[in-house]
Amino acid sequence: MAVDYRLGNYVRLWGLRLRLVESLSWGPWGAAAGLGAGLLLAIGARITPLLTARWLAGLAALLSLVGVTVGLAAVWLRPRPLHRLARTFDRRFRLAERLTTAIEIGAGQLRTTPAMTAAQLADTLDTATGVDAGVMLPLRASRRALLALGVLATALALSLWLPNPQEDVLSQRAVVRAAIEEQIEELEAAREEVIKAEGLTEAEREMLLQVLEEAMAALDKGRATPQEAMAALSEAERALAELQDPGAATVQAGLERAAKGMADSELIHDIAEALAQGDYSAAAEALAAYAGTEGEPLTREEELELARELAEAAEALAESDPDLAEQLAQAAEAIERGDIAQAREEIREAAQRMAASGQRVQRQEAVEGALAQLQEGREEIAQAGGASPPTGQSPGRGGAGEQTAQGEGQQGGQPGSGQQTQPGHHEDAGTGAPYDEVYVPYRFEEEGAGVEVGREGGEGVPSGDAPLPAPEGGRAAVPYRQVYADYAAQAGAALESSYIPLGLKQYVRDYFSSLEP
Amino acid sequence: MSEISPEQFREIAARIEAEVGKYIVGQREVIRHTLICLVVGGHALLEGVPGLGKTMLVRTLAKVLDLKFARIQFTPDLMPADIVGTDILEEAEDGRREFRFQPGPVFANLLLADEINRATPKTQSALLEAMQERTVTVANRSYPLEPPFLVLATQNPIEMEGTYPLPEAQLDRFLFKVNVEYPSSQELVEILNRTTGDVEPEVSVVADGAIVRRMGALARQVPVASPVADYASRLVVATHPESDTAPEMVRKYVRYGSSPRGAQALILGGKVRALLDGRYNVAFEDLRAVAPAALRHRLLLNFEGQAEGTSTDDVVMEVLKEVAEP
Repeated sequence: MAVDYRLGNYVRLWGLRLRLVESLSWGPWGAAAGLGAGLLLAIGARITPLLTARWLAGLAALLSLVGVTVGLAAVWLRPRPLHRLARTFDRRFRLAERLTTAIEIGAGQLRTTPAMTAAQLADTLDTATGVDAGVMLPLRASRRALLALGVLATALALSLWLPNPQEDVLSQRAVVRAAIEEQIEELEAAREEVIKAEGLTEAEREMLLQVLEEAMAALDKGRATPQEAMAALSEAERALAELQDPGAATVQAGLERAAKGMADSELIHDIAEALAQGDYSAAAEALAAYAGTEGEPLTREEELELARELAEAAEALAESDPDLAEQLAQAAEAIERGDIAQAREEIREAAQRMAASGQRVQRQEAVEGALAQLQEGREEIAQAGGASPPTGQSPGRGGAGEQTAQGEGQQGGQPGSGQQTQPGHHEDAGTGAPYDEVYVPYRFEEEGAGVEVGREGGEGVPSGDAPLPAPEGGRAAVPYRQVYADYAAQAGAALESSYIPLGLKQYVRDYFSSLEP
Repeated sequence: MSEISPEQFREIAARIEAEVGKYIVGQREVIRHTLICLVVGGHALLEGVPGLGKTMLVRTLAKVLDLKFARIQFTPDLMPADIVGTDILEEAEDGRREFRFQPGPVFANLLLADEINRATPKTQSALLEAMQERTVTVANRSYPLEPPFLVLATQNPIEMEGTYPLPEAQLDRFLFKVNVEYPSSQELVEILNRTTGDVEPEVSVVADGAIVRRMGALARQVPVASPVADYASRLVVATHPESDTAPEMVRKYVRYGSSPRGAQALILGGKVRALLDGRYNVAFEDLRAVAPAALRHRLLLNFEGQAEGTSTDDVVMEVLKEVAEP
């Protein structure tokens, strides 16, 4: 037994119309749901920095579209068997379960006499014929859905239109992010330069690369805050500071002075030019050429001029590079004596020494280049993050000419002079006894208001320490801005990376805000 | 026995109702429920204060259907034999004596058991056995009752002194319990007009017992769709306080819910109502219409329910409100 085809046709046609009617209801409701979600996001974006108004508008539109799609999919993809449709239309058209009964009888689920079956079917068809589906299932959108849609759209538009203080935070974050990304690119360029740099041993190159790569990785991980980014760059700066060669700047200055002295000489003009250009290997090769036997031999006058120039160069390098100066002086003396063989030997050794000094200078330049890059990046990120840049924290800030050679037991670092001292192994100036520094304020700088801290226990010399250059008025001074920035950055990093109860984080931020210079 | 068509069914039923309506003013629901009971072979318990036309209704129905009618006024001293009959000793012309069964008033098609709760339980049970088994056993001999057999029992809800309320098991044997309400003012005027004049309405015979039986057979052919049967089942299950689907009122005030006979009464009543309504299938509305009559006497309220003055009708209405159609 099968369902009567006329009855089946009625039910299927009504089913199609029902889907159309439901589409006009579910579609707007789906859109309303999407707009509702968008509105919630917009409200959330006013509480916490989530998205900009433009993004929110786009997202709300997308969510509405998804809502409409889901609504229509639910209407058109949901299977609707005949008996379920019959049940639906019995209810909607008030057919008093005629359809359901007829469908069940047709499907063989119900049994009765043929006469009753025929009477029931005829009655159902007669009733179905009288149904005006156009009136009972009008094709019009749900008013409540449209109303909800209108209210939500208005609320969303208002929420997007009214000024949102969180947008400033987002803009600042975007600037910070852009600055961080720019710094990642700059660090990548610095890395390339380190790879190409001459005068670095493999171990030094590896270490430099590692420091730069770690800094890049720290900046690149997710959404680093300005504090985290600056902390990562500071950490990298500290690591690079340990690779600095404080004496290299002195050597470079001596070589430059020597170049200036040799610049007027016709005979060794090529050496002077190479040194002036910083091409130390070329200068060393040019010097080594005088130790060779190839080419036209020098006249005695030329030899004497060479000896003079070498002696002047030795004088210029006497303080910065005593070994090279000694070699050049001995070469000059040998030429003057007429001991050409000895002179050649001394010139050859001086050339090797010059090449080594050149490498030392180039290595220092590579480290300083990387340090400068990190420093610049830190300042840019600080500026982008709206915080006071922790100026003067860079170990390389003071410049090569101002740095002291710690390894040689010299104590530099006049407070406020921009000079730096390095932590590490030291010898007492008076007794020569070795000692380890427990604190070295190497971040001094001239900027900022100074804070004077009185010594505890009155005047005196710290035990086990070398006497510092006498501070004015017997007081040590640390720029407040520098100390504040350092501590604020540390606190910021701790707030981001350590477990601190949410309710207490604001106290820490407020505290440092109140101390801001 | 030739069958009758649904149209004939509806026509006969309409004529029965019209003829009864000549005597009985209003009470359309009572007439219809009584007719339903008659058609499906169930018994009805009519409850109402005296003077509302209960006896007249049954008497008129008997006249219209040309059925044998009997009335028993239940009193505390009524004996079972007064209902079912007894063997009496008779002397024949030849002088021999023998017992002969003298049928009681139960041997009728329509039996009015007036104020059934005034008889002792023993007497009540004699009638209730006849209602259930449709036979009477006297002196180890069974006597079948001629169909159709319909007992219309009445109860007076007031004057409960000295009465013997029917036990639940016996109440369950009535298909419907029909409340006979007091007539409205307009109906009362009409009653006065009809009963205080010198013209007595005449009713004509519309059908007989055989036709009633055929109507019953046709009613049982009416199909019931599975959601409708499911709804009947849900309604009955929801009257049980321990059921998950029971409304709060049922949990609070009902001690025992309806028996399966309640569901049968819903479906049977629904079938007849569908035919009377010109349909050939049972609708949810049919079940809702007969639910109070089919279920009210099958619910047993607990002490709290009785103390609160809750009626079983209230509970049934709550069940109808809370139980959703499948």
